[in-house]
Amino acid sequence: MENLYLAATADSPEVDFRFDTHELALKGESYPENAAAFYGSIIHQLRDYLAGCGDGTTITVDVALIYFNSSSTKMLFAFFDALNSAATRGVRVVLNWHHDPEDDTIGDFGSELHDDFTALEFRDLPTVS
Amino acid sequence: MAEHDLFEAEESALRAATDTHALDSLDAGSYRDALGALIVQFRRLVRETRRVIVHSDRQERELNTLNARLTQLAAELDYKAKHDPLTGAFNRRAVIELTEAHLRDGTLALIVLDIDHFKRVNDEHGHPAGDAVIVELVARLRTVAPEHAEIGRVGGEEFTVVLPCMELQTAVALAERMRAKVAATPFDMPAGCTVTASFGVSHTPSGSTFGDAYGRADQALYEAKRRGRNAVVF
Repeated sequence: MENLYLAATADSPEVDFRFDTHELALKGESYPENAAAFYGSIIHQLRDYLAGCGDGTTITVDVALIYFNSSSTKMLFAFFDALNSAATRGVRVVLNWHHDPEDDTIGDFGSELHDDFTALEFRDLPTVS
Repeated sequence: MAEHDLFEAEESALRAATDTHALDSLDAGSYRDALGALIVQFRRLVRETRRVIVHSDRQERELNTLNARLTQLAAELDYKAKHDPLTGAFNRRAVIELTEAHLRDGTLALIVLDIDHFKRVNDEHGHPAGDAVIVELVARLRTVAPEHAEIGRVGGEEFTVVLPCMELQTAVALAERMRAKVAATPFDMPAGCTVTASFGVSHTPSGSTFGDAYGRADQALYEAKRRGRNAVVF
């Protein structure tokens, strides 16, 4: 299936899903006017992609979000839930959680994801920007 | 319903539960399964809601902190935009704004003063000494000025005192006290020299401009210089 690339805007993150190499990246700030619409179609394509991934696949997901609002958070849960389901049935999913080491809010949110989506291989990556 | 719904999963679970609930002839196992499915969704919803609220509360706290800092910085910037950094007196732009604001709905007396032979102070004692004289002069003006007087520094060694609604004679008397306060004792300098200033006073009716008030006071100041300085003219 075709890769998905959306450039970052003032209120939405860069989406760089390279399905052909199994590398997915979300980067930037997220407070789009309609988070359900923005993430809805992304998650839809993600689910299609995941349905075609077999046991031996390793997917690397890089998330570097510096701000996300409440509705984005809700949609991000659906995003990670889709990945977690794939991981439960044997696909290896590595989640690289990038954040500013000074930003405890994003750091702690990452560890909560780690607790909630146990099938993901979570890597906490505090990086000085 | 919108094409994409933030609560798509929850709405779908709710529909399924409602459908099952509407049927009264299913076996116990089917109801139990439906309840189980609802529990799974409900548990997820509670967990996610908890996370969202904690996260958004934290972000809100951070925003409040930033907002307080921003308000403080805006106030500092506003102060800096209106005040002379050396003396803390109003700067020229602020003096013009204050004067015009007062003249919109009242009369105003304006004192303009200039330090006599200030260039000599700078030349003989250096610029830091000149700055010290300016600071001390404003401090002396403040000890004499009434509370509502607005003292400004409009040029290097030129100052104004804006006096809303004050009569001309009262302002002239005040200028005289200021002149005496400046000339009375030597300034705190190594050489301990006496500093004097010349004063011009104007009275301006409501509806006039800063230019009117300043122009006439400045003319009077020029006359005070011409008469030999250390004087008040109106």
